[in-house]
Amino acid sequence: MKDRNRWAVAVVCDSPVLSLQLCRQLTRLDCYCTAIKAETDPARLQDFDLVFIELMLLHQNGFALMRLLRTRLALPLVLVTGTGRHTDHDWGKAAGATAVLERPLADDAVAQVLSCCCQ
Amino acid sequence: MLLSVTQDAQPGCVVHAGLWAGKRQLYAWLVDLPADGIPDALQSAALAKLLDTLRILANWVPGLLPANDPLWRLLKVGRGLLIHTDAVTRHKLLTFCFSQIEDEDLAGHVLSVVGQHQERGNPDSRSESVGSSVVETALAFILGTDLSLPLAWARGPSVCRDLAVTLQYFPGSLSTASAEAAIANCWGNRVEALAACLADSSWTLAAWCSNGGVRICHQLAALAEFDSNPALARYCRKLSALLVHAHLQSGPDPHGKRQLLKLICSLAQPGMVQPTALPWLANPGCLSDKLQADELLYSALQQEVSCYRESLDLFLDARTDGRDTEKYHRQQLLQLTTRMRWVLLEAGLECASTCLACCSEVMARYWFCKIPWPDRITVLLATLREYLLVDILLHTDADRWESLQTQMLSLWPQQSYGADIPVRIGPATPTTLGQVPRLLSSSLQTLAMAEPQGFYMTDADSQGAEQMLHELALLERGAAAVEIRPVERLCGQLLDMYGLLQVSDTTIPTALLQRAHSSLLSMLDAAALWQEPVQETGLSQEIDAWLRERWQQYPLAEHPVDWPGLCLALQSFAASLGGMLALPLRLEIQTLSAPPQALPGQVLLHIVQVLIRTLCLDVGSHQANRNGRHLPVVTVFTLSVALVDGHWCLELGEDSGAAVPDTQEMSRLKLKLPDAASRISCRMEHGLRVFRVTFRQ
Repeated sequence: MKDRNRWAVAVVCDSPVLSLQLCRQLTRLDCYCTAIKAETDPARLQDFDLVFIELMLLHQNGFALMRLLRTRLALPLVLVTGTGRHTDHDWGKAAGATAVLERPLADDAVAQVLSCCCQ
Repeated sequence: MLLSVTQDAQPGCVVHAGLWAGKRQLYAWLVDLPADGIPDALQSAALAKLLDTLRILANWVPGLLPANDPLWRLLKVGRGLLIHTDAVTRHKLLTFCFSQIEDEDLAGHVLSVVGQHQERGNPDSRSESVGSSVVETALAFILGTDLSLPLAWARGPSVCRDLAVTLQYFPGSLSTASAEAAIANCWGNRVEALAACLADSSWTLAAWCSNGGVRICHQLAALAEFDSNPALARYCRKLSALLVHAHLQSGPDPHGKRQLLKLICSLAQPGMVQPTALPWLANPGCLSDKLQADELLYSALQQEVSCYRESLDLFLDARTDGRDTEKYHRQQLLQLTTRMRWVLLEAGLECASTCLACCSEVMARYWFCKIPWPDRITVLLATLREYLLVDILLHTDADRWESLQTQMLSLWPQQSYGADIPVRIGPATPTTLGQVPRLLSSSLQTLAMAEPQGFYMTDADSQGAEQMLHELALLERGAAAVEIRPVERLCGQLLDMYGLLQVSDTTIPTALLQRAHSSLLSMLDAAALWQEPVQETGLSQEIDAWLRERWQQYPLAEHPVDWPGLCLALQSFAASLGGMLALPLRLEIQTLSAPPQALPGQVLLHIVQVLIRTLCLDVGSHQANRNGRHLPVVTVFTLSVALVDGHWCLELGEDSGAAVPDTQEMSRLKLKLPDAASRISCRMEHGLRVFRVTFRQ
């Protein structure tokens, strides 16, 4: 049974290290966190309060995945980028991201996104 | 002889390491030769064995050693040392060996300078003038243009170390006061230059590479090596790593900037340099305690590293075999390298992470400039592959990562320095090529959410449609500027479709438009990730067929009676003329700013036809170099018609880049126009050549 006082967050990322570390960070920030390998079935994500999507996926384009999920899901979607390019922010938002977070992910930046998106 | 080769040795790393060690051994052996260059029997036997081993190693993996590698020449000449008995020939051969051993003619040059002094009858006294002359030659090499060659630059410190050894072979040449003064002068000069670079830095890696910061750090390390101060050289390399890291992070806070400047300025003061003054770089590269204690993270890292190595293998194999898939694997590798940077950072391997960040930046820069990767990058990636085994990662020290990082940064493409040429993709202000992606990603909001069937040309959505057409035109020019041809082509086709739909009553091809928009978005997604966009198969042909078929339904109207009919007639004329001349052109007609009742339609049609037909001759001659000027392949004519002071006048702009015609040409053009055209003039405006024709009343 999900504790409604804690946010349920999905991390869509096919990098074992990056998803592990982001899940740990989110758990530290008092979230229920589930790591999911690149997911294109929106039905599996419907029960979450928030979804983090990694931009740099192995065999998929993070922007395209974001666009696809945005057409089916109304919940906040956060794009995580590590390319250092400013264009990711603009194009990520255009693809439907609620927020775009840039690596390295500081705790306070993640916490701020959580509080903004999940209110 | 320390080298041994067995059949089960791994190709690549082992052979490479063997060749390197062999070269060093040969070098050491040559330095130890007696001054007359005559080896004794024992030395001859050792040399023969060494040369044989090097030959076996060089042949071990075909293609590993390029045909132009100096080692091949060295192997041939080395034999000569054993065969020839006269001292003069041996000396020549020995000099040649020195000149080849480090892929530079540096050592040979230094030897020849010393030799000249010896020939002048001063062979034994190592005078101050000899020392300072040699040192100045060496310093000129360290600071000179030769160091801009990527290979020499990357190997600068080792070359300088060897140079110092070479000079020590001639005792006294490094110990003169004037030589020390020359080194101190160079040092102060470089430190000042570094401080100036830092003060002016915009805190991007591109800027740091292009303004010479990386190079100066490298020169400082080389100078320290040359001055036989390994601690200071290490300090310089760490400082260089710190500065690169700061630029990767878009710069420290103002306090950090001041600290860095202070640190660099302190280098200029003799005796003030404390190589331990960089505490935050004390242990950046070794395996962190975090990783050692964390089995889950360790196991995840193993998976990740193995995946990255697979990707590297695929690329290196495809590159070696010259396969068609190389491009695809290169793209994958670029993306994974960017990701791997963060993976290593999350695992606590900061030095490796910074090195990978530099690799991905350099690789991406080649992608952006559309330049093929040089072979040297492949060699460095092969080295990187050897480092990226988890067990090796645990023991690879920071110096190795920093060395790899410096070598990678030395390959920063020179072309990217000049990439910021002004590009016109908006109606007025030219932007720089580097700003095009940013401008596009922030300007395509409507297009990113376009739904053609619900969007099209109804009164309610006309503003959205207008915005979308504007974005498509912007994107076409932007894609041409950064040379993304499939996007440029599809944008052009979409604009043609909308152009036709605007002036005709053709049924909206909803399915085709949806497919085109969806394909465009996929391509933009790929381009936004700096991947090669691929257009949906057959889509382009389908759109062309649709356009051809529709235009055939609208033959050129002889007597258009109203403004929409006139627009249709003009578009139809442009389409048929473009097809006839095989010249990609588009006519964009601005909204009429006056009531169309009194518009002399026939005259207007005639004048525009004459103008476009004449201008197409100029356009055709400028067509070939449009790509070179970052312009779209399609030439755009822009027509606007207005009523000014009771006179109708038209303005036709075109973007071929041709110059304004001279008076004679304008007179000839005037003669071609009907009498109804009273005046014609031409001017340049926002990069367009604009012809203005005023009608008689």
